[in-house]
Amino acid sequence: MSDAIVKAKGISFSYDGAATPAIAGVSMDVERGQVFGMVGPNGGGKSTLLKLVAGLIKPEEGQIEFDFRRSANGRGVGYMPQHASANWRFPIKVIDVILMGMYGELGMMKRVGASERAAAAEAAEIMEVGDMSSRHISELSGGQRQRVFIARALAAKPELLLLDEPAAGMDAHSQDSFYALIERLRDDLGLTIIIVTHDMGVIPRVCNQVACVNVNVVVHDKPERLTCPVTEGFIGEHKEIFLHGDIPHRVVRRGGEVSEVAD
Amino acid sequence: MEILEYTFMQRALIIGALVSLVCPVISFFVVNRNLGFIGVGISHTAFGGAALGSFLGANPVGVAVVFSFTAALIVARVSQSRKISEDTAIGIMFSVAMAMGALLIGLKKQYTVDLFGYLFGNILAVTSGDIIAVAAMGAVVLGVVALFFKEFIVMCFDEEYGRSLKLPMDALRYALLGAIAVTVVMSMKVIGIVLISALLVLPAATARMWFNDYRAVIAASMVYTFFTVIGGLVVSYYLNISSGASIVLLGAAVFLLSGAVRPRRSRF
Repeated sequence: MSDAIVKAKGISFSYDGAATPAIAGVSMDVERGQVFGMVGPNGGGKSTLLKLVAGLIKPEEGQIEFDFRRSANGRGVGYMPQHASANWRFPIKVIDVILMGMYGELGMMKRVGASERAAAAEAAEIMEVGDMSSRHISELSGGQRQRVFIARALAAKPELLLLDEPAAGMDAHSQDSFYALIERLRDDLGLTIIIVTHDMGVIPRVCNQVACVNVNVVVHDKPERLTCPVTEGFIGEHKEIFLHGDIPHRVVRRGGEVSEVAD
Repeated sequence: MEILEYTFMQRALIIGALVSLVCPVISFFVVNRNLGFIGVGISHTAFGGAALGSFLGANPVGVAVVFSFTAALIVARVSQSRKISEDTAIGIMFSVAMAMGALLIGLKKQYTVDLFGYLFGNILAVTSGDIIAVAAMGAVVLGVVALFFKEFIVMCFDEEYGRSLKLPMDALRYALLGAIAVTVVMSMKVIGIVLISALLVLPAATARMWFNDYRAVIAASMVYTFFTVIGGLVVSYYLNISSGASIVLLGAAVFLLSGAVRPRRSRF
């Protein structure tokens, strides 16, 4: 039984001037209420695929369909770009960053009102950054900033949350509590969450589905059997993470050898 | 006070006050989007326009607006191109416009004094018509910023996120560069084309040392600009020096002093 919130049908995308496409002929279903991981080598198109889902860029071929249930007036999608995209020197307080999440709903030339402030405060509480609301964004740690950015993506009450490397730059302890929070967003708020990550450890722990992305995509419904032709080289390079990380050993079979497509 | 008895000084002070409402707001965006060199490019291009206006016997301010606006459009276009960098385009554009200005000055020598005023500011050149023109240009700039303020804030902090909200980031960049172009021209007679770029960076750079919230930074920039512009005009009157030079030097002195005594907690 499939209940997909996102259906990508044969999408392709190339950046201007690039000789080869970033994403070619990708079809995938993202199941509702699940955490969907995207892994793959650098330059393999993970972030590109996320931007396509976010609507930041348009596919040259194919289409992406959404099936939102709750967002009657909203857009349904909350997006958190990579950490590096923000200007950290900009003089802005935490609560004003979170309020930006409401600007799409609010529309151009409209002023922020009480309902937007309430929504931003609520999102701050969910992400446990409510007590930092009046601090400057640069005073926060990397993990706290990521929570603020997720709160911003949550402010407009989306059904689908898109996170581009949310745990980058966090220490192991911060990552643990961070992923516990991600699981709560899925279980308590019923959100569907797509996470682009380099952290292979997160996959068996929180992901219900995993897409191995390297121009093409192979989706695995059982992340603990992660062996995949499109990211073979990638997993090979990360063998040590599989063998020595806090991942159940059954993830890596035959001493980390990649052997077959599991699906 | 003797200084207020002269009509030209009254006009200069009124224009100075108007400029100190608009420049700090635009300065905030210039500093936070790293548009300082773009400000230099747009303002110097305006000189070519002012010179052409003088040469043709047309209104120099009007032609300067056309030039600076065109320069802003070119910069906005080029920033989307992959063939030529913004930096290179500005370097070519403003030197060509300055060269054209120098050529036209050479061809029509009687306007030299007038054009020197456009370069470095000359309060004696301010007419009552200028006050109306400056007020109108200031109203346009502040109107645009007020309408799209929250969108400009998103653009300065996280442009990619703004795109994900479907906010028209490209159109907003054109609007901001257009606003810079108009601000440059409205400040032309009092501060001068060569020196206006200082007022596009100094106010927000000084205020940023003290405040961590954009509203506070803009408010403090306004206070800073008001006192340095009015102070600079008064100094220029008593020492009989170019008003632009006295405003910029006074402003830079306040910036340096501020940097020397600023609180440690705001550093990062």
